[in-house]
Amino acid sequence: MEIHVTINGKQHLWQEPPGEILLNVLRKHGFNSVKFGCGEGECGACSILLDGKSVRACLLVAGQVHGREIVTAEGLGTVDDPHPIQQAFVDSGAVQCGFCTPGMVLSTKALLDKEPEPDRARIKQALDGNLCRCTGYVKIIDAVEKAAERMKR
Amino acid sequence: MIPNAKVCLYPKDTQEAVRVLSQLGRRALLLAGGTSSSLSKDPSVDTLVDITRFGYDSIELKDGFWHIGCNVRMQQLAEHQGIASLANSMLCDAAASVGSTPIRNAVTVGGNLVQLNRWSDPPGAFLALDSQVVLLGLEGKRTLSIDEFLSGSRNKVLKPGQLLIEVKVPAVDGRIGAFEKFARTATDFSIVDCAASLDLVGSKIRSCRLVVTGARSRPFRVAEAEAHLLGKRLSMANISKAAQLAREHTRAIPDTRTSVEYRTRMVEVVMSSVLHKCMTLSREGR
Amino acid sequence: MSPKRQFQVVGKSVPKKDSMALATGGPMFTADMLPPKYLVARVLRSPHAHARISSIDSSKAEALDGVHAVLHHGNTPRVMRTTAGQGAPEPSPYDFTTFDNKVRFVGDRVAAVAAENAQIAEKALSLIEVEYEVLDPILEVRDALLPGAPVIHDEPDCRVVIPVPYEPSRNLASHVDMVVGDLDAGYEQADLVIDHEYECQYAQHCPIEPHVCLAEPMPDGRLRLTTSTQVPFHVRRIVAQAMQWPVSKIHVVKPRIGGGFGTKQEVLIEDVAAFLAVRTRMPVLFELDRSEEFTSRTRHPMVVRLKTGVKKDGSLTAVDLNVLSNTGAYGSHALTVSCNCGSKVLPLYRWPNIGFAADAVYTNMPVAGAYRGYGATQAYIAMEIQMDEIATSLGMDPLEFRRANLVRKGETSPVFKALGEGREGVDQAIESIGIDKCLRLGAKAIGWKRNRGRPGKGRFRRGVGMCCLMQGSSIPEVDMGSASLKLNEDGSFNLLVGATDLGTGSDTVLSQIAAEVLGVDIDKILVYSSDTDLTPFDVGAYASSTTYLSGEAVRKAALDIATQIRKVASAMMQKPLKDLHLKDGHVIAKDGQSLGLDRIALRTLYEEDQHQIAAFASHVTKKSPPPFSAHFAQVTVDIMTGMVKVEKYVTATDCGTAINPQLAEGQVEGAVVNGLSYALCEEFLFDENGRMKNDSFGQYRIFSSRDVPEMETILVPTYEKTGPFGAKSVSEIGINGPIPTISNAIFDAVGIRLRTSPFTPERVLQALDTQENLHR
Repeated sequence: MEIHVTINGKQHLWQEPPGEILLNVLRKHGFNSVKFGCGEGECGACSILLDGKSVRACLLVAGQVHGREIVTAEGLGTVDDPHPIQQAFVDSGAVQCGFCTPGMVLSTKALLDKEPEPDRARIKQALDGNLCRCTGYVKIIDAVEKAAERMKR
Repeated sequence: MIPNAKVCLYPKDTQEAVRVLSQLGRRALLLAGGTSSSLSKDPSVDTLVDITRFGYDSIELKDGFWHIGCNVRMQQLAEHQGIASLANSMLCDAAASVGSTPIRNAVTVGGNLVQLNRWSDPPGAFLALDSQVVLLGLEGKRTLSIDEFLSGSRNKVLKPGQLLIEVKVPAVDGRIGAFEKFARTATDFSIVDCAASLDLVGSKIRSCRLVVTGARSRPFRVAEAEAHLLGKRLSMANISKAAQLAREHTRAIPDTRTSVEYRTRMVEVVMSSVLHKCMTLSREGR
Repeated sequence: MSPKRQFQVVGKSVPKKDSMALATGGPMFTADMLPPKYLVARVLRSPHAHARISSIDSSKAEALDGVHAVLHHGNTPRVMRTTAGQGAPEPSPYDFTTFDNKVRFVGDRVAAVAAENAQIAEKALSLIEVEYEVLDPILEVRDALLPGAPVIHDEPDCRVVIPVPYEPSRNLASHVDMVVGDLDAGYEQADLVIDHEYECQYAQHCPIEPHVCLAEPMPDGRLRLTTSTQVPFHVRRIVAQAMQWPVSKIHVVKPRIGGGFGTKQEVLIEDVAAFLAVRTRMPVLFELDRSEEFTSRTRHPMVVRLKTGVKKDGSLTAVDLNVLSNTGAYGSHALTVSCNCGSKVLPLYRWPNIGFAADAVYTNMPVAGAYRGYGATQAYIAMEIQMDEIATSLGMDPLEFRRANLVRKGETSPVFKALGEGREGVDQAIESIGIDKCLRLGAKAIGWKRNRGRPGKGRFRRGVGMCCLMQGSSIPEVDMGSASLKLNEDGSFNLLVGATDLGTGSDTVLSQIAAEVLGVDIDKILVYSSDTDLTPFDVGAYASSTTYLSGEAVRKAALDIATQIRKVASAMMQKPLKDLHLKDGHVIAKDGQSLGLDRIALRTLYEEDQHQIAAFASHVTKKSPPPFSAHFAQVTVDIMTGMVKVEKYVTATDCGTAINPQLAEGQVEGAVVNGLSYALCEEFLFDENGRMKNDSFGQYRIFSSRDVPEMETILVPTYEKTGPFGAKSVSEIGINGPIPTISNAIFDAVGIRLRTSPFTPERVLQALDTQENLHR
């Protein structure tokens, strides 16, 4: 069926079965920052922002996003013009393998949009749906603090 | 992937939704948060029905009840200030216990109640708070107590084509409440949850509802423990006895990760813990 | 103490080179690089723990529209080999072929399909008709060596390719033993002998990216494998072996990979993708799903028996370490993981008499393999809990007892020589050791003196615990790394390394080493790694080797190219060679005169004396200098539920010079949190038929951000002369600490010794129930 969806500010018209998993559809259309990690809603590698809230693309079907707005990591910034959150992740050593990073960055965005000055406990809570096996989360939490600090200015 | 789905419908009001669901029967799959239905592989489904666009996504206080729409997301419930003022925020605590942030952003109150996994946290809190659920079918609206909703056979309580559209929580002042999730890790499914809400007159317990979640397939009240507390003070001895009764009257079902014995024992510990919280709260006069 | 050195780039926390591209979601992983048309592979897996395939009929599957190929033992060559990505000849037994007529664990390969999409592939799997002759399985490690036990590898062609013990007829996948000194005499001299068994569980690495490989037939008849591997060169060799192809026909590319931790040191999926691609003449994508990932490769569960003798004054008299390792259905890494139980653990303390023996046995359970820590993790559980038990028995402070017995600078251990990886080891003296400072700083950070022995009363009891650790840095006289460098006309350099960055940041660390020698900014080093056609050889990312081994290869290549540059500059500047050095992108003479590297490059590329300034270097180490570490934890134990919460975790680690301190800290923190998660909640649950019941992230929990305690990560610099700019390894050591440290902290809190992990609430509560003096 025809699915109208706004992704990173641009309107898209998909011809997709409405029951196809959103993760697969997004990847098919080139949004490679949305990763397959488990396909069961536990790892968070496929995180996207749906109408501003972080959710899992592996637990949504394409039909559900018709008329809605999606943001992926590609939509936040580029290598030449990164979002302050992306810059903070780089500066803090929060990126190791980088597979969870797009999702982490998006969960951070959702948090800071709502609460510009979260403490560490709140940060840990907001990132609890994004698993990382490389960093032990320490530098990721540092990065969120750093991003919050910089974005306040 | 729902393999044979050809279209997705977006009913604009509840009547339309009920009509579509009734007409299509097993050909229709209802989608709200999507966290369980998106993984359906049911080949008989050819139509998806996204019910998140007909409203019922807010929390309102009217006629002495908090009306929680079925499309309210768990995170929204967890953060709602009005709900936080109810029974010491026990319902918010229960909502915040569900999975992780992205899961709470997706899971709806209605979906969570209808799906009713063994470890679903908020239904136990709804039960402790003496809530009601509103069902809508072709024949109209029906309001029933959460006790009835949770105890009846699933297919009889919620008939095919019917929608759970709202949960009503009595907006009673002065009720004391506590909810506690016990799990291996912060975002894990619970081993057991306990919820308690108490109505005190002076220092005596006028009414109470004590609920255990996770030990059996559905949350249940422990009548014996409740009866023990009625008319009594919330003392250490009474708490200890009530918690013990809760354990004795829990017939836990097996689970892969913890033994029946352990989970049964935890009922006593967690129930004792929530009642202690209630005691502390009552002393603080909250 | 370490010599004070001033570095320009080394020792600085420069951002990881690929991190911005990753943070902005660039298409950098295997599954992001798909051609427009490709087939999807799926594997049919055994429902039985042990069975012979009596017949297999794939005709219905092959007839299904959209299916391009079905592989099974009837239509693929039988080539016995190992999946372990190790140097040749591998120390792991040749007990595996791409498809066999026997299955040996639930999840073992039966057949594979390539189809136009995943749905068709899955449908095809359901159409393959297989008849099994079900055999008795071995589902308990202690049963494997019993007389009359089922023989798991009864095929006549399984074998070892190096001279080591191997007795498949009694399920013995490997055996190693050594004795130094006289154990009996040692125990005779002892005032106290302690003898206990310790047991640790299965666990999976859980990289967030599952194994994934894209196999593409190229127009010239070669095959390109883009794959998530830690060992691209071993993949090339082993896939060639499996296919009976020359190595030259295979090109392996490792793009970014989403974590490995050892599980991608296996050639687990590439052979299937390769066979299917060749058979179908189309690109084939093979990606494991999460449940397959769980039973792909695991940590070797072990039963470790440790017996020690000490005198009243706390001096050591004897140690005997006996290991029973469960390698599962195949013997991948069985021997070498066993060896590490001794070689990375026993040298830490000054034992005068030493015994060590390790048997790795086959069972019909998931296959173990390489996992960060690699045997040291398992053996340190026994060693570091027992060191605490001895100290307690002697009435000594566990920290002071350890400190008195730790290996010292200039000393060696007979274990280094006696135990190598499947052969004799290499003798070495400890030249860099900062463990004393680790102990001092760690103890201070946790409040060791202040907090120990004060559990408090009530429901939540507090305790502190600690442990000491060492690991190694590469496999001496076995592993080889190499690097090449060339100068470009803008003064930048291409650094090509075979070394494999699996997310650790080794590309960045190696660039820092090159930049330091060449006197340029790190941005001037264009690093490209792990491409078997383009980069020189490297064994890959394992054995804590990359910084120490490949880093030295890079340093050598950089020194060589620096000399070439200075020679050209000498001619251009009319200065003697000895007066020239490289700094800030220039060659600088003693008198201050300078010449840009771009000028030198332009001249040699276009103007005069034309040649490519370039260098190659290889490196093999003579030593495996251990990093050292002290871990400290403060925990609370809920005596009503048995729940253990780690409140604070402190590590102090001597990794020599930290080339990039931020990345080094990240290695420690990641390893520690993985270890904490292993200590407290990760385990495999099996049903009575040997099927893993919790093969999903939902059921098998790993730590999330909310489970992480307050962490303090201290780096204690030393200078290891044989490493690049004084560096040793850092990536593995941190995972060894949490289990013993937490067990010791639990003892401090509630007086119980937990010798079986994980410390789940139920297990802890059971132990608490046996504790008579505990007042609840």
